[in-house]
Amino acid sequence: MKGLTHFVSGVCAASFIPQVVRMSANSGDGSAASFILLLAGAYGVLPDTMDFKLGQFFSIAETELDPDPVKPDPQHMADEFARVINEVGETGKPQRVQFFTSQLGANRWRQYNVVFEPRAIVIQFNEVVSTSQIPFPGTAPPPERRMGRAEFKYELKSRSLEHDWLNDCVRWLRQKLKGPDMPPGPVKPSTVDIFGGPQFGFRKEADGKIYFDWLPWHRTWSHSWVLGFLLTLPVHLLAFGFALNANWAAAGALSAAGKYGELTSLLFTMNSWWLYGAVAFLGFFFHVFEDMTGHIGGALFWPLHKPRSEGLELFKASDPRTNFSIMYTALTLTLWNMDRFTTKVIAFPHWFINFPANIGFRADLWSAKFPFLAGLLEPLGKWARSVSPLNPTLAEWLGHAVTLTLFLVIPMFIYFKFIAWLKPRIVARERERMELTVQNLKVLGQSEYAESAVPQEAADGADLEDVLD
Amino acid sequence: MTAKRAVFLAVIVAFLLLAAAALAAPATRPATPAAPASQSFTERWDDGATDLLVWWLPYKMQLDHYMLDPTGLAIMILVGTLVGTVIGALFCLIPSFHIYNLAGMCVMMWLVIKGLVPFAVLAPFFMGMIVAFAYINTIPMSFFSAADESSGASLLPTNDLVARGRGWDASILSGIGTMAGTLILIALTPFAYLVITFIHEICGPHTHWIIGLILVFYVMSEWPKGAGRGKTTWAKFSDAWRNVFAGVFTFILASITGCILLTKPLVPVEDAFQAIMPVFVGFFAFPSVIQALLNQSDPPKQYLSKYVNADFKEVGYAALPGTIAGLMCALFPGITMGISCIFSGHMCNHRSLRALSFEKPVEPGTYVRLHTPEMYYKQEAVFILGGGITKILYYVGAFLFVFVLTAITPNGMGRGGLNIMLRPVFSPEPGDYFIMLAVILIASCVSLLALITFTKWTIQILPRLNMNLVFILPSILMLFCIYWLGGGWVGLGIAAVTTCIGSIPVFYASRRSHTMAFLLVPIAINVAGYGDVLARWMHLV
Repeated sequence: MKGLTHFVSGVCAASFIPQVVRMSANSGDGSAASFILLLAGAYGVLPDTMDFKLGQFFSIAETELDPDPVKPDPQHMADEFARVINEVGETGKPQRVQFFTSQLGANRWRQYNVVFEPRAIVIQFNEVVSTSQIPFPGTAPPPERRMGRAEFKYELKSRSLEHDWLNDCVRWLRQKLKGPDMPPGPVKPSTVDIFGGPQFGFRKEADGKIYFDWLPWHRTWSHSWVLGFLLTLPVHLLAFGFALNANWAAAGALSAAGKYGELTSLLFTMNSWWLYGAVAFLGFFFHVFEDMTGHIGGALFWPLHKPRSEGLELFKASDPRTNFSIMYTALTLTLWNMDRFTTKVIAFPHWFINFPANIGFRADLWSAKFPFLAGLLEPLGKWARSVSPLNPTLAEWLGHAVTLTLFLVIPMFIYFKFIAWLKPRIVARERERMELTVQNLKVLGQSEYAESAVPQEAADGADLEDVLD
Repeated sequence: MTAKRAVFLAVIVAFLLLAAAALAAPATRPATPAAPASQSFTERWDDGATDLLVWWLPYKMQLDHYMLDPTGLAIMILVGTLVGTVIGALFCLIPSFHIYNLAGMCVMMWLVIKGLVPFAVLAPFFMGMIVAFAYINTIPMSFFSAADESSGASLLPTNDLVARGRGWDASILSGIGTMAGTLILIALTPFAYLVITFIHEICGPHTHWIIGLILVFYVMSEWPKGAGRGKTTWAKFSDAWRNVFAGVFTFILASITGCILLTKPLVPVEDAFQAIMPVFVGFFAFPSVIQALLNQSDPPKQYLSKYVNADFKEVGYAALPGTIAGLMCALFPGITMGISCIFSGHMCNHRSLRALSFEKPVEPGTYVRLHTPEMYYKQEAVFILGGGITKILYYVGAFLFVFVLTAITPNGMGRGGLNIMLRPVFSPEPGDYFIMLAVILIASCVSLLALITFTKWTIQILPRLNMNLVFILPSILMLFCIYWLGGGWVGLGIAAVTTCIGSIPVFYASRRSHTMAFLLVPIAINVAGYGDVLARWMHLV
């Protein structure tokens, strides 16, 4: 999932601890408030930060395929790739291949595809694209330098045969949630265009096929609950140390507290020092938990159990519906927690505490204002005053239920209904465009020119029919 | 940079040094009967201007009489709106000149002439000015690359369009987005009273950590832009991390500068009103000018097209991210467009509802077709439209929310520079909100028409402009402003330091908004209640 999704989820989880929210609020009486919730957010994105900012640089590929920006040679790249696969098959030694992007300018990149067949690879260079991945028409290389294809002796496969107890557990849960697994499909093609290129790992398995491992450095050691706990230990230790320091400062032993005593006494107390590490761990925990709902999974117990498991395959990490709905839910719940633990300005919980007496009050008010309704309102007021008030806890939670229904359930319902209405329309329009493209290609009979016609159309905003004319 | 340009730049710098020295001279000459150097701009203005304006007093009394009548009041509000819009629109055309600089000068002039101008024109005047800025600022931003902090939200696509000769599209799209934002702002009225007030009150005691969270995510979400080439871990790491290092370094420097300057201002007290101007001119305007002078090439030929590449669908796609980003800016102190757009972009990006797809070759053995969905082509327009929506919610919404007076927000809930500047001279009254909506609508219509006309003029004169002068003359103007309003030599010194800091992200391709740590870090620390302790800890008090 997106970094921001993990970030707000971590903060949301931490906001369910009343003491955390209370110590974070500025009471306005001159006392200082805590920044503890920053830890939940920071640790919430830490696993991906470690992967993309650190981990990937520790994964040195045995083979690097770096296309020449001026004269790319797809055949050479395909041959090199085939050599690696054959070596893995013959020696049984795993290898990694790093593809690099081809940058032509500040906002110009040469896009290429890596398309896998069971026993072959096709490298195909496309148009120049912008950083927004929009192709510029007419910039594809000439046909003789556009595509390279090489065959290898061993078959590629996308799902591993080798699975341990953790993977078995994940598969069991996935099958309970989603039904039996679909047969594994072919290895999916990749597009390499902007920023960094992908790395692929290859490993020969017992059936003689080569397992294709997409981003072998991703979600391994960094996505582990054990590592998450270990990373929160410094937070625990520091918070405890600062709390001790603050305690000494409060006890008047300023010489022992040193010059930091004044600062630490504002931030830490002996009652709350443990919360800092706990909140950090919550952020980390929820990141790994959320990633397990995707396709790649994680190495949950690294270093105790190192292999990366599969995921539950419930959502795609890039699915905007999942990301948006989780973010909106997390933000709404965080605001709700902030209000119920500190500010208490949302009226519904208070309203239900006075229910139904407040109905009686309103009925009296309106019957005086609108005498023609008095016959209806007066009995209502009488009834409301005669009924005993609701249990305060029940009344408060009724108010919370109304709040969450209004601001979470209904907006989410509308959002999903809207997307369900929108997506088929987008897909239908795209299908129409694709069919027209095929007609276009057949009419023109020259693929390299015909392919450029579609980007031309979209970039200029005219209708496709105009281009075909 | 060619030798000719280097010589030209050197001459200009020499001229500036001489001019600054000449300006400084009277204050050091004991025989000169001029005002003492310690006098503020307001006092200096007051001495000379008030006497000249006394002739106006009888007319002012007449005006006050007319304003007892609602029609007279409405006419005065209309006049205030139009004057503010026109002044704002004209000054916004100056590259690197921010509306808050102009607003600051206007507030100081108001302090002098407040007895001579009806009070009712004050808010419409400033509202008209800021609305005009939200619209017209697109022109210098797109055509002259004069970036202020908020330009990060719409700079890349607009610059790209200008480079391709489609500056007209960029400008008009931004105008359409801003007009859509105006309508959204008006449509948000019930939401402003019934929901935003509650969010404002709930977030109030938690502002420090919310700003802190925004900063943490902002820093942590800048991914390495390099490809990571190299045989060793360190080689790959350093190749990829250039922009991240630069970003973190900028953030730290800006934070330290902010903690120092906001705790112990170096600018003299009498110039404190515009104390922050040299800082932001240094962070944003001057690095852009340096970059433009170094990279300058002839402006590409621009085309006037009959249509722009967008329809209502694109406005619809842009509405949600634009509104979220705009409300973030309008509700939280110190959060600007560049930062908020990162958040709303991450939150609302629905591009991958339909991802890139691989299609079968038309003939076996030929190319696989990579189908790029239409949504990808439209994102440029969506981005610019969203930037327009955000811009008006940020600048205008932040000021408009001052007028949302409810039981839980008795003093309104406005944020932003204009609100801070006007606080000492103006307080809203019930009913003002709806007058302001009318003011916004009128100013928006005028500004959109002005945008269309000004864009046409810009396209016509662009090929004849000397781009060196386009950047250097406003810079000289800004240097004078800093000298006169921002603390004299001390202000210029501050601007020099912040220009160095602001140049780091420009030349290392990291996010320029890192410099906003100058405001955000001290605000978060002070709101949380650690300001005094930090000041003592840093030996600033």
